[in-house]
Amino acid sequence: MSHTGQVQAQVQAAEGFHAPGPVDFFLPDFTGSSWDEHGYQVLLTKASLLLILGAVVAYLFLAITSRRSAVVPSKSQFLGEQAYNFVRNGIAQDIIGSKDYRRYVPLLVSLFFFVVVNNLFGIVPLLTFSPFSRVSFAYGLALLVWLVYNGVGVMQKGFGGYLKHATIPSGVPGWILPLLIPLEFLSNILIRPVTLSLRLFANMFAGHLLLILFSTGGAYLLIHATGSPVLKPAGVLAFALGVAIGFLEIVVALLQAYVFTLLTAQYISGALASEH
Amino acid sequence: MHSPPRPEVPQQGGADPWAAFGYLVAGVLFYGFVGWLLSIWLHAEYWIPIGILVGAGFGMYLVFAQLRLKAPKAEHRTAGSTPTEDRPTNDRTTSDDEAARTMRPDSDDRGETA
Repeated sequence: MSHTGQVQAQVQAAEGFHAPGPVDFFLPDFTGSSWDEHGYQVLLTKASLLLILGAVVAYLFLAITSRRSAVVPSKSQFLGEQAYNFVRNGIAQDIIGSKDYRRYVPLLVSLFFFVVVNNLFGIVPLLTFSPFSRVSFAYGLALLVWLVYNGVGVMQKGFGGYLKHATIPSGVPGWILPLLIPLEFLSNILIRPVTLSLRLFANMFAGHLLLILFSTGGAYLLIHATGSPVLKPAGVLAFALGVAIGFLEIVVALLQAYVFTLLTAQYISGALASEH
Repeated sequence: MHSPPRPEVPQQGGADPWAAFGYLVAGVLFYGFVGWLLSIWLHAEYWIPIGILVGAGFGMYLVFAQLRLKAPKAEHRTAGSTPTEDRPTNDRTTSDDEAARTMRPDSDDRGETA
């Protein structure tokens, strides 16, 4: 925190307005460790607590909406069933195929709701932070997906068979294969989890940064800025745009959870496919 | 959201929509690395851009190969399931039209009666 404070003080002395940046995502630790000469050392931050809360909320949503199942559904049961059906039919069945999608429905549904809830934390008042705007959380989730789809492939085809499946591209003549095998391997095994996590992280990071920028900038323009009569209306405009970005963030949160689940299903489907 | 029953649910889904991106990045990374190794070995830095471009080329080749693989298969499937229809998505309306046209009693012999 001292480092952050120092930077803030320097910036404020120089310019008067502290522009938000990646340093705003380094949240203070509850156990007392923080920025020091060894870097950023943390055990428990708001982000990790929110992650746990996200799991609890996702569980409670599904448990409450399915608690009193009736033939004529109540409103909450209808909502939960619609969302569940969306993942089950719209993602799992369509992507993995009607033959063996059932085994993966629990994983995909849990992933979808977990990511949705955690993304939406970014715009919930008083929480206002999405754990996935810290890249390490996104890496962890992508590692889980990586283990699952590679494990599925190995269980389906055996280790050698899956390695052959994942490294030998189909539809190319044999003489060019040695040149393309490294690319297929890199693309299937190494780049997939990286893009999967970076896509989720970057969307959450950028959205949160925009919200900080519009709110702190709007506040600065309204309260502190002097010198021109257009500054205070500009502050009002900045707040209005910030609210608009907040609504956009709802869409982004849902969309990114959908994309994450969809790609997980794609990877599982690719690992299961009989021929490429 | 999915109340209308879907006529055909594919047994296996389509390919990864991000595969093209993955192939391009993999090609640039791997052959860029090979070019960098060559540049050290041969003391000639121009091998790095050559490697990057060759890698991008191979990545694109892989994308095209995957697309070529998928296109004729999809065509074969639709052609095999509905051999006489060239527009399977509109088959209900077209068949209704066909039925209506053939059911009309006086459409054929109109010339004689008139």
